[in-house]
Amino acid sequence: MLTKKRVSNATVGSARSLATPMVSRREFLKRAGLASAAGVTFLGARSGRWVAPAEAQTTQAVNPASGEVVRRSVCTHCSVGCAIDAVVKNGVWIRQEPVFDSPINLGAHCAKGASVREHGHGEHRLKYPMKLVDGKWKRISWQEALDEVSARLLKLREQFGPDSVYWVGSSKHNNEQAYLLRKFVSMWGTNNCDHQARICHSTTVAGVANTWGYGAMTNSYNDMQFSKAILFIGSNAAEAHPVSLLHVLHAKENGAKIIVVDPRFTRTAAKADYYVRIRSGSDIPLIYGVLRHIFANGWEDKKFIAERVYGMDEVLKEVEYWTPERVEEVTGVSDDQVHMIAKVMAENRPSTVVWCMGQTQHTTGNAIVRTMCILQLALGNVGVSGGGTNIFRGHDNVQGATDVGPNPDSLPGYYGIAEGSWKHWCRVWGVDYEWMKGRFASKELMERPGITVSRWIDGVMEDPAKMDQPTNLKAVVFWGHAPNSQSRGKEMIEAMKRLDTLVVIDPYPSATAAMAAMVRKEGVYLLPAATQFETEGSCTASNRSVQWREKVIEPLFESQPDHVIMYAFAKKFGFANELCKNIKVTQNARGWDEPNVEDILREINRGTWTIGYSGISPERIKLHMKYMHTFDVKTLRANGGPCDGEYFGLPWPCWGTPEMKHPGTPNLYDTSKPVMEGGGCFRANFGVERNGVSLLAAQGSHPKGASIQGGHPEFDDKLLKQLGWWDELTDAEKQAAEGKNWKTDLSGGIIRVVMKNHGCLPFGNARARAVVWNFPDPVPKHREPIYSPRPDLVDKYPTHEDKKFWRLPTLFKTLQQQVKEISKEYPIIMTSGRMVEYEGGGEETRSNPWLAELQQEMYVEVNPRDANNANVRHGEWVWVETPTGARIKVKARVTHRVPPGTVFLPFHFSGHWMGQDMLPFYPEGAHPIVRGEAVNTATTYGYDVVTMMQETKTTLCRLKKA
Amino acid sequence: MCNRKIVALFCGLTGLLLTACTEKPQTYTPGVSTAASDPPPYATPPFAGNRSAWEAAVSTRMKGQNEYVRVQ
Amino acid sequence: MARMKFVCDAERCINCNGCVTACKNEHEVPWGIQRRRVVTLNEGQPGEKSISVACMHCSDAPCMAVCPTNCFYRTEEGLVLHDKDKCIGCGYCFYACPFGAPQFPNGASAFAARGKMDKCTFCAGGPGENGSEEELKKYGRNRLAEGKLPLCAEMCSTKALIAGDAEVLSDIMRERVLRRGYGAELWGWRVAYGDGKQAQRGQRVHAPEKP
Ligand code: SF4
Ligand code: SF4
Ligand code: SF4
Ligand code: SF4
Repeated sequence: MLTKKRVSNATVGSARSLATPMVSRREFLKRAGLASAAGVTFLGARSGRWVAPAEAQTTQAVNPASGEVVRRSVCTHCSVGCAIDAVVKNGVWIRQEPVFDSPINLGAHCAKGASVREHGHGEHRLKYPMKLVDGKWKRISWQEALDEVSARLLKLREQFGPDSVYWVGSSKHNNEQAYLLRKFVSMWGTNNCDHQARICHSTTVAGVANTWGYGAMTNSYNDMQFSKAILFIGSNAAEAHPVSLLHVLHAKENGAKIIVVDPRFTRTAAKADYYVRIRSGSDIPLIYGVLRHIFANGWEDKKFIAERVYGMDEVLKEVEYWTPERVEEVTGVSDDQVHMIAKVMAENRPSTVVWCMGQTQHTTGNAIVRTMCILQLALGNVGVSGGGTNIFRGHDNVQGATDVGPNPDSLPGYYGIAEGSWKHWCRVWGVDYEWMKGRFASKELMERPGITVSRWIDGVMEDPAKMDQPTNLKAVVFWGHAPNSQSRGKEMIEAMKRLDTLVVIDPYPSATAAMAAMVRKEGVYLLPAATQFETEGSCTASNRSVQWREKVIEPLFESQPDHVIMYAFAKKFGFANELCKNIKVTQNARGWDEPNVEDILREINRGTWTIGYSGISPERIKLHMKYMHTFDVKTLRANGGPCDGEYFGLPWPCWGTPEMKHPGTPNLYDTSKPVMEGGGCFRANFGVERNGVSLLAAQGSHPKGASIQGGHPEFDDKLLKQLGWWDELTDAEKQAAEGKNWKTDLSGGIIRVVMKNHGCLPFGNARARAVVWNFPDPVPKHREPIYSPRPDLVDKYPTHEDKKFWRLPTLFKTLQQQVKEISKEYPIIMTSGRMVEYEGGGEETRSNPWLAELQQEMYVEVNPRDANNANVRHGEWVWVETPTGARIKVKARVTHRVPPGTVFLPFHFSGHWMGQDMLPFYPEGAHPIVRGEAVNTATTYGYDVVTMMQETKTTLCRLKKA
Repeated sequence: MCNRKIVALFCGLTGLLLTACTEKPQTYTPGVSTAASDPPPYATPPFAGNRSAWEAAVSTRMKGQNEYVRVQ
Repeated sequence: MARMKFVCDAERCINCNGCVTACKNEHEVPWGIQRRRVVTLNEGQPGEKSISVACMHCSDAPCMAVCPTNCFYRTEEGLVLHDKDKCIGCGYCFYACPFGAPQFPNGASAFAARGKMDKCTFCAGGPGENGSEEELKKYGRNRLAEGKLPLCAEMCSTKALIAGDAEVLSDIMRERVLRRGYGAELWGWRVAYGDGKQAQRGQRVHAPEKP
């Protein structure tokens, strides 16, 4: 049986003969930290010759205690944030031990986390700077690279202005690097920067923050152990966040009911009590169907709605519309199942919801996620342990990079980019606002959101007359981002052709290098960056807990940590002093100037009052990393020890100054706890009333122990004076707080007085908004995807009007009408998603032999019915063709995972281009071991109407036997 | 063991197998293993012969696999 | 210490391959050799179950029984290990093993030239000095001699895979089963460890079974 199974896997797994990369003996010895070169091994046997044991050298017993040091880090492959103990000897990372003490993962890892040590060896890394010369990769020195790249960029800046350069940052940078990059780009003079969050959870961040204050996961993976029911919708956590299942399955064992709603029968579905198959992109009608049953049965939490929610009545009108017949027509889900979801969620409270890219990556993503919030508000599941919206973020530090990193519409801490925001940050940075303004092309552009990473290709190709910036993009810097994760790859190649300069700063050359080399002769530079194991810094897990990574090893090859590279460029650009005014700069082991990472975090502390990164000092997090074992696994709260009463990783908001000792906030908006113990309420961010209706929380609804026993607006100097609390500030605090509000008072005095003395939250106490009136659809509305398989539904539920935003004209209705009947030619829904072995664009993980071996081929999952119709059999090659004219050649995996009419492709592959292996276009030796077609070569046009999230979950294709 | 011995052994065995039906009964007879000796796990440092210390260490790790110990 | 065993709790295993790469990592297992792998039944359909399989260190081990050079030995902890210096790479153990555990470094196909057999050691190394460089190179790390358990189990993402003394494992499983209110599928246990009479020796398994 087992052998058979293995063989059948092998039909997909190894039908193609692979170059078999194996560890060389020298490599083995190096990896094992062994100095002497002895003879035999089972590895030696790979040469085909068995070496007689007599040849083996007699060896010293390895004393595990000798010369080995253990460095604590955190897995870099997803937002769960599993801790890692790296054993290092003679500077070589020789072993990896489980960290049983971590309350987050209890030592557990998925395939990626259990193999991160490989990155400390990284034979497939980009080893030194390179440039494209006459279509060939040529090694150059760092000096040449810095000189040439900076000269080219400065020339463009002079000729076309700072907005001609686009900076793609990274969610794989640590907080300090992500923050420094936002500052760096600001000083360059543009808002044209972005990172993975745009194409991951931007719709969540916008939709959820506009509902109740913050756009982050409200509770935590651990807190899900308190849930009685868990609804996964658009999340395949078993593959995307495997260790989260440790907590989920524990909850299940203790009686929690698990529901999975997904077009695919995922591995998460395999672990569920109930599975509901839905048509991709029809989440809104489904949730309205659920709400209808909730209200029809009186299951809604009336008190909660009355006290803490605004606009539920208006939502009810939309709920009325979605009769069971309509729901079934659009979603394909029968009323029984809809009723079941409502009943399970209502009868097993606290119940929680989990969503990921299955909900966010749609043209209606912002509205889909808001219906989820509405569902939880209706059930009174927000601000309670075991409830909440558990939004699982993607990359290891995507939460942190969203919070303090390179966002085109905001400075660190969601301060925005209005004049006041700039002034606030200029004060923190110690630079003159006028100088900063002078760095930009104009004040207008300084306050206008930049282009998003999902649209940089249009930034290059759009007619500048139609754009909201004076120039096309002329250069793009990919600073830790895969190109194959953005949609419309076929057009991206065109954009790459047109660029003046393309720079890749990454530990791996990434698909960018190969794509560029395919179509260009020069003007492309590759600069080797160090991984997060080769530097130190903090990262924020999905649950807002911040952890500290120690440096495990020195940077490999010629790579340098990202913040060191930033500083080197800042020197070239002439703003190094401004960039590090408050940050110590010292020389690192290789003689490069390195901004002090802890100092950067301290600067973040001094500026980000809004989201309470202000209390998360390096000293406090390091203490948490050391005393992990003192934290409770379910509540994340330390019980005794030096961190007594604090929550693990000080989940933000960790209010006020570090000295205020706020313990962090494990569950957002939880009124059952005092604010100084992590309690809270909804944020007052949208005014105090609308059309005569109060937006503030009702009397009686407040965090436990608050002296204002009901709703109130956010605090500033005036309100403090009105309330007679002003004199509780010290004289120094008064001076700093005069004319300021809680977000801009750099002394933290307002926050201290309001929280410590009066038990209130500085951001006010308001209602969550079921109606987000500043969005195109204030009450979420179902709208068909642009490439809809249902022309009949396009008429009933058309998409938005075309719109210009984020500096670019964007098509909605025009395109939808044009392609309305295209499902006749392209009848199959194409959706994409995760595999457990790989992460993101996948270059890094596909370069890791331990992972690469497990998944050697790009595939498409096809239902047997569609396979038979296309005359394709399991394991055969098939062309997946989309309306863009792109066609990708992949292996067919015939399976019931997907329903008839839907195919699924994983999005981690790159290195093949419409049937062609791109191996010759990678720098020699730096290609990923496994290459395959990128699904995004074939994806189509379509963007969320608020955030420019790309639509990758619902488009159309057809299959042709290859 | 030198290569020649292996070859000799292998030939011998092949001979045996070729006698097909008179195949030797394929059961393991304890005590005839040809493997070189392997000291027990507690014999060497860090336990250096202290068996009970080793057992205690391993048993703590074993029980640690039960997350109900840390989570109720 | 009684008897070391593996249990993979099919109710928890999510086919994440953490155990597989943990093993690769700890022992520098080369490409093409899988001391451990995850098998999925009913893939993509209700009832889908995954189990992580390596050498089960059987009570009455078929591999041992068929080895022409008798290179296997059983340790005090009940582990089935072998001596690579005595192994001739004939592949008999592979055919005898109900779990397909033995691996052959050069074996692109079953009949090609093979290297010495390699299989899961329960992270207990092999003959020779514990923790020596030679042991490390031939058999991998000896975690047991460091007072640790197999890394695959210690790193399992959901604690589906657990390893150790049979009694402790039974206690852990009992607690889970009690809470779930239904039985555990201790896949492969009867084959590997017998039902008391050890009558199942050599028999192949065709489906998950209840103990
Ligand atoms: S990828 Fe995520 S779940 Fe897997 S080990 Fe890393 S942090 Fe944990
Ligand atoms: S028969 Fe297979 S599973 Fe059993 S001890 Fe031998 S190799 Fe291991
Ligand atoms: S016990 Fe050790 S050798 Fe065996 S599969 Fe697990 S990690 Fe690999
Ligand atoms: S690590 Fe655990 S859950 Fe993952 S495949 Fe292995 S046994 Fe299953």
